[in-house]
Amino acid sequence: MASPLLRRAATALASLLLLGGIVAAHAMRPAFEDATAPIGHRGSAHEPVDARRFTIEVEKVEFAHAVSDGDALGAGPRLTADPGNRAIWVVVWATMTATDASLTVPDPVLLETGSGYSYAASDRLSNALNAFGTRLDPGIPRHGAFAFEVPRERLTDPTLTVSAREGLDDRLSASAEVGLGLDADRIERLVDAAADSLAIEPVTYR
Amino acid sequence: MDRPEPAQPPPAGPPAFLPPEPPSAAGDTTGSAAGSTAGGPDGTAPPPRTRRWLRDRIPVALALLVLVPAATAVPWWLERRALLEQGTMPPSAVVADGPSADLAGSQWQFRGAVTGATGGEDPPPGTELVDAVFIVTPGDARASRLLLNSCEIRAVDDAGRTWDQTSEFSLRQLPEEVGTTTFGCGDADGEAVPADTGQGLVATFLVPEDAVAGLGFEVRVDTSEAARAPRPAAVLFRD
Repeated sequence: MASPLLRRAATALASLLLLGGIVAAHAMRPAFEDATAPIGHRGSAHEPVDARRFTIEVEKVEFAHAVSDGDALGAGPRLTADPGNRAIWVVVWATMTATDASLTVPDPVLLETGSGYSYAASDRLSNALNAFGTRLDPGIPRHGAFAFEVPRERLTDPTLTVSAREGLDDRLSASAEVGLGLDADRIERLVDAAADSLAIEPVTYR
Repeated sequence: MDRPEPAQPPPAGPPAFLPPEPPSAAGDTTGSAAGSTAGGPDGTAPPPRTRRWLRDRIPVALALLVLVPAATAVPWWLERRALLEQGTMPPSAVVADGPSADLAGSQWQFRGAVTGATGGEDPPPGTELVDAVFIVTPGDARASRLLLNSCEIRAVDDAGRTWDQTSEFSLRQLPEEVGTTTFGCGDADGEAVPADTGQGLVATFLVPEDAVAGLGFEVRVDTSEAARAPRPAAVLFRD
């Protein structure tokens, strides 16, 4: 049998390994913010994406050089995409419905690109789906647009990330990640066909 | 350095955390020839020393049986109570027995729901406008303050879906004396309802047509003025 010294060494090593394991497990413990972050649900455009607390269906993506609030009283101020960095407006039209409680769509709504950049939807359009005061109610679909100003060269494989929450608390709320399914060719064609100006109509009931 | 060797067979003896070996396999007349800790494979009783060892551990086992569930249940219960007191966890609504109920020192009377009073304008397709009419009578000044600071009314259907009040149709002309329900419940001027005074309230909801039939209305009011422990309570009225 092994000598007492060897056994002690083995015990010490096992203890050190266990201690190391405890430290490692502690370091891997997620931060409170991560542990309670909105729960993501993936899907793609042109089909309803079920994020459990709400559903979203992206119906149309349009490109434009300028956007504005359009409503019965005439168009609001025109927001022109920055020509300096060859930016363009990406307007994503979607229908969202809450599942079981009244929800709001908090900022930021993000357009994440394949190159790893995230762009927040403009908060300067009061008709947008992410505008202050837009509410989602169970069983009552709402149709509207999110508008993102994005430099053209960074616009690859965009994904829309939207969350919705009850009240002010977004812990463990729902979030949907909708792949827009736009490849380089399609993006190029959409850029070529981009409208000079696009009016964002108010959010409607569907 | 002369400790007993756990891995070695007797004569060094087993370590203290293992049950003792039976006295001797050779002199064992009870039939347990394997020298195991429990009864033999033929179902005979364990030898006396093993039985005593097991009996000595009964208090520890019983203590663990109580302590382990308690160590889980007590923090769960404490956290749940704290969340309910803070209002982070919504209170479960008490279903009102009839049209009246007491909540947070006020008397609530549900006078019924009116559907489709849109003032001529059509509601969005597939939806109905529902107005829930209440009369609330705060019992004292504290109840008035609780109403003004915390009262919320929502619609609940059979399936448990809930709707907050809508701001659509907010330009309708309601009777002048109708109180406010948007940010807390107050009188027509948004002030606290005087104690022992009945105040009419109208809560307005836009709900899908299929939800109208089984619609109930939940009133939620804090029961305490403590900033960190408002202890909200809720009552559900059904038509």
